[in-house]
Amino acid sequence: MATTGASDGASAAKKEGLVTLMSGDGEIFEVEAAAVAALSVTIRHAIEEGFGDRPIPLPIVGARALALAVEYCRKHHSLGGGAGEDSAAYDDELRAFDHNLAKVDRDTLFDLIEAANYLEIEGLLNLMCRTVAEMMKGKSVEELRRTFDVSNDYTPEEEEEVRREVSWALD
Amino acid sequence: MESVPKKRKIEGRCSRQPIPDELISEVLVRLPVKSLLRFRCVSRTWRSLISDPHLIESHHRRSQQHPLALVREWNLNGDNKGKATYVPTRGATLQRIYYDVAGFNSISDMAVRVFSSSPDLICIREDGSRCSLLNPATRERVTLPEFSSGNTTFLRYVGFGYVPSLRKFKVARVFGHVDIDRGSGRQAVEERCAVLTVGVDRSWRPARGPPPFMITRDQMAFVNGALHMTPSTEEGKGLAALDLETEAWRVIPMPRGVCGKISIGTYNTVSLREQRGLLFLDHLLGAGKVEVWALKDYEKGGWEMEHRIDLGRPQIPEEFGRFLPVLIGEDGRILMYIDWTAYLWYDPRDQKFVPFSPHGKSLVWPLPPLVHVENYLPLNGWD
Repeated sequence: MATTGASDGASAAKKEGLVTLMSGDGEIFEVEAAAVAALSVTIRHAIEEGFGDRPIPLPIVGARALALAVEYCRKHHSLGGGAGEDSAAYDDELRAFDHNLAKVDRDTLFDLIEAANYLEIEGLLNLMCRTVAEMMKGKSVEELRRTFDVSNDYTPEEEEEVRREVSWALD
Repeated sequence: MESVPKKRKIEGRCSRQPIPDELISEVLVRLPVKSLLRFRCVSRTWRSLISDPHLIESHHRRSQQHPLALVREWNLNGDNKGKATYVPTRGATLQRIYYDVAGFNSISDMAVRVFSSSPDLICIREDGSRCSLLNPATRERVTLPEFSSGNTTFLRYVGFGYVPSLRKFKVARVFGHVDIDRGSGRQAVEERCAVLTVGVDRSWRPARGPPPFMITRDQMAFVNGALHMTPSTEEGKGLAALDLETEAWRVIPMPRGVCGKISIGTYNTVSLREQRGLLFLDHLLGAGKVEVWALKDYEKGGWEMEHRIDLGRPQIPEEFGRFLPVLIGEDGRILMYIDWTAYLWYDPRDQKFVPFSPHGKSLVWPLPPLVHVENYLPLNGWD
């Protein structure tokens, strides 16, 4: 695979067909423009607006999430031509890749959701949201609060009432 | 995973900031209804996110791409309670959902009838004039106002659908109105229509009647905001469609070569259903043969024949039952139903049939199919 990920400082000498991305925490990534532009609407627009020569700043995307997102774009571009899950190009290899990519901890999952949302990479957003939904699906109310750090702001009376309304769905 | 840089620990993103509501909603929209109802108890914020009409509607739109077949079996205990429902989803993966609802698994075609014109809800007709709408996913149920019309003898089918512009469900009822001429004693039957907006109307409103000779007692199909019905006589050369928003009728041509009323025994040969937003017409040719047509271009009336399925053994007596497609799975296989006898998976690639026996058990007395898309649209809509 061609140049990946982090290099220190923006290199002045631009290679053909590459675009420079800058993560929110200041890391620089040189990646194939075609691959990221095919998958990410945000980067496509940035390139069209003439960002091709300068690093594209991605303020809310951390370096780790950006590296994973770039890897996603590259893989999906080379194997599936960027087509979605409904297309015939979405084969076992891509499926396995997606499956492995989603095996990250909870915080990284949410970082990736934020990144995919910001970069407008529909397939990645869908993949990560579906992964989180799978994690949530069977959880009880208490487990969900614990796993996803949600604080309970109901008064005991309110909570009892809501629980009564949906009692059959609680088990 | 190669090439993930692990050079620096990422400062500033380590302590997790609250996840924006917008992104929580992106996850919520992908959850099953039962989980969403449960997660209303998590916190006030979650309750209000889950109850947001935009979320409910986008959840609904997403579900439409993943219809479920509700495979019901007659409950032999005879207590008239629907107990188990097997639901094939995403092709071969089986999910077992319990919809514990009175009347839902009833065998009796006369007293209780369970049917659906839109996969959003199920209609349970308890006797000639009493109907209720049920959302099996939320267990919400509303009883519709009784229907009475002096000279009505023919109680035809009821159809319903969700009208997004009104954010309400509407129900339409088509019936034969009988006029008796006092002098000659002759009877004249006219097809009429009554409409009800659920949560608004306290009684049925008279609406424009259908084009003549249009309505059969078959199930209606709700597609593109309109209820579709098959013709009852050969004079009706097309399908009748009632737009539920405008309550106006139009006629949609049938596929070439498909004629309205030819019946096999007591069944009509043409039956309509909706799947993933398309109108499907199943043309039953008898003896285990069926043609599946899809209305690919709705505006121009562009039909395409998708499949011609042949069970390959003339084992189904013509009068006894139908051989019907239920649902096309995401792997391309088609779930088929033989009246009261069996469910089968049909694979169009090798034209083979495999019995559908959920969890290794064959169904004793399978009831007619229902297709459902999980949703939690409130039955009374929003104001």
